[in-house]
Amino acid sequence: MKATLEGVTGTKFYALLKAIPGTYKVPVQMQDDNSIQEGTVIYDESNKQINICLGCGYQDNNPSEALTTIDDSSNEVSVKTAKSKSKVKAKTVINFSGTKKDQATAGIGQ
Amino acid sequence: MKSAKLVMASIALCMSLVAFSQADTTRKDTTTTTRKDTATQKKDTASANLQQGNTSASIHDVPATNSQQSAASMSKSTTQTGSNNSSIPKPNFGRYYIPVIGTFQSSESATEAKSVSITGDESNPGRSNGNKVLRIA
Repeated sequence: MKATLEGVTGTKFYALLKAIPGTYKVPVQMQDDNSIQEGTVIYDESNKQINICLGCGYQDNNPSEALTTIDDSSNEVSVKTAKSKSKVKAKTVINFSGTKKDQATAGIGQ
Repeated sequence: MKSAKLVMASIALCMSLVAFSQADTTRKDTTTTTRKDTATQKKDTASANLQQGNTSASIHDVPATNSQQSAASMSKSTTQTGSNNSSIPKPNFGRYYIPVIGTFQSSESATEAKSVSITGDESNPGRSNGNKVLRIA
């Protein structure tokens, strides 16, 4: 199942539902000439809270670990020097945590 | 004169039919409420209801039996299941209920994005499965 997220970054991006309930993986994707980093979306239905982390990657074994232990080195700018030119690669981490606004529960066929 | 008599007879017939129907409903109620009571209790309740003109005999007026207690417990269970039905979420994406779909307000004021909306994949809504509401985690 694919879910579309809007508002975290300037562009829409999608997340794929994984085997663990409420856990989504944001794959690396290009949306409107913007590259979206791999990330994790975890939704806790008991307290209606969502945690989105772009740039944290996704760990199949323990997806929640990607949210808790954000790699500090990801914020640093890594400089790779080649023979003649230098490459500057920046990896940013975007975090969002929030609660659901609308909680619509009703009976079937009502 | 004949026509007047005919009208009177028809009115009387109607009145008797109405009275019979009322008496019949009370009998049904009493039989349903006092299924395992003795015959004397049946007569007493029926006569009491007829005297009071009460068409719906309440269960609390009649001494409780095992069958009534089980019926009461069943009614309680049905009300509980009814409340459970009310807690069943409404489908928010076609016939499906996807919990993550909705608008989220950021809990931290420092974050840049204040609200994030999550929608389903409209290009691939999935197959329908009758009238069942499928829950997708």
